[in-house]
Amino acid sequence: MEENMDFDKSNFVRNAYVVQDYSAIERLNVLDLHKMIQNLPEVSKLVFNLYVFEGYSHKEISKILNLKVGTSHWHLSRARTLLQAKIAIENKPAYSAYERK
Amino acid sequence: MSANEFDQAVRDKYDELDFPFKKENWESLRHEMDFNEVVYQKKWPTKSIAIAAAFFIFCSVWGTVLYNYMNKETEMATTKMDETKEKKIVDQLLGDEIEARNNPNSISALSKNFVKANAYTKYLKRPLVNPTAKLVKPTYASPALAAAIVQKEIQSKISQTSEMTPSFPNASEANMVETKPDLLAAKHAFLSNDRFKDYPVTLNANVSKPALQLGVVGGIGYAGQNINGYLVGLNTSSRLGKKWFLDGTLALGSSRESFDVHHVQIAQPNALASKSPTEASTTFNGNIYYVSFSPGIGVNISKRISVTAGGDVQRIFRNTVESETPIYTNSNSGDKTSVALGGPISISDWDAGLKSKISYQVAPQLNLSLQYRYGLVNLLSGQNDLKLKRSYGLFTLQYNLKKQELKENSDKVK
Repeated sequence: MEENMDFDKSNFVRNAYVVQDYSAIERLNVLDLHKMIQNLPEVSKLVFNLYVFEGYSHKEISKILNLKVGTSHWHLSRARTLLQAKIAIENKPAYSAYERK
Repeated sequence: MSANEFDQAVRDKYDELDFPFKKENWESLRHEMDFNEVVYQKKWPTKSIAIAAAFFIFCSVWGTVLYNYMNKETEMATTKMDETKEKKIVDQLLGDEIEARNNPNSISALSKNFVKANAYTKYLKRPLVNPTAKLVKPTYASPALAAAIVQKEIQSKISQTSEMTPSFPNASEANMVETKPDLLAAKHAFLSNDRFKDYPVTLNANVSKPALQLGVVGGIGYAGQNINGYLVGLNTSSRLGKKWFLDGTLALGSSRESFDVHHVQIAQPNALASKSPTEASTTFNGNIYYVSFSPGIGVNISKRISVTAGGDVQRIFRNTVESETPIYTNSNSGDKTSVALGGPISISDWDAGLKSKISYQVAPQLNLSLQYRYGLVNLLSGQNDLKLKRSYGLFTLQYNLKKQELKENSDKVK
């Protein structure tokens, strides 16, 4: 356990949910991906679209959506996390995400 | 794959999309862009409301203190007036006493016995049975002083008048002298006399609550087995009838909210790849600040106990709760690893629920209450599987600005 904790935590946080297999996205139907993005929580979806597709910075997004910059970061991270989890589910449909305890 | 690579992969994937051009779609889009107004989120002036509420509570508390101080001054003045009235009554009693000595067979001799008996009740401290009415609660500013004055002055007057009328008449002698019709006439004349106009006795006195009551409320909240918050505010109640009343509370409060979330981890984090973690759990915590309005209808089930039921609407100011470090659990070996992941979860601005309250009046101006709030709304906006409904208990203390008053159902003794 000690050995496993010896890593760059911030980098790990960023990549905690990252899908390991690049081909997972390649295999995905673009319409399914579009549906997944559409099903993201409202604010996270907006931040994701503005950042990834429109090319806005977090500072600009925070002004547009009246958010703090940190919140914008968090929403983007959350959108990625959820999206990657959904992509992973698409590849392994046996699991379900965000299950209430 | 880094985050940037992931973003690029998503963008690349979208490049595969081939949108067929349709003129009507473009027209529709242009129409929407022209006519859709930009809706800005209306923000509540949180600071202003908090300052106004604090100022209001400050004024209420000081108003209460001043009100009580002025009441005390009034009571002191009333006490002085009562003493003056008692002296007048004593003089009247002495006058009757002397008249009775001089004219043993007069109406005054008959009435004197009754008045004398009334005077004795001051230091006997028990009600006197009146031929026509029941004296419930004689009120004197200082019964002991009045009794002492009566005794002293009567004795001095007796010593002065003893040479004139050495024999003291009693009621039996008077009754024997008077004939029966004369006695009834004398009683009637006595009862219709205005001698008791200043006599501080009320008949059939009942305790009643004021029609409109204002109070200052403060309390603490319980959720589970812990104190999770506090509440300070104002309460008002308005009587609807003999038993029913309307009740409303406007309060500023805070509560600590905490709930657990359990994730099923699909993708394996790099550092834990060898451990094959499959689950992650975390606890979200946050202090919520709110202004609540709780209208309700209540019933007095006894003189001191009342029960109220109604609704509770809350405007929440702090709209995020933050998570603690999640714990990843290895499903195979049970090993646990903490990873700093998570962030704030947004919660709704408004909350609604049902509220019930049972109150006990411990003093004329002080009520103790136990309340229970049942949350109806899921506060976690945008969450399908997570639920946070705020149900908790409250223990409150209420200080009423108005005292309970003695209500007179009949006139004073005449």
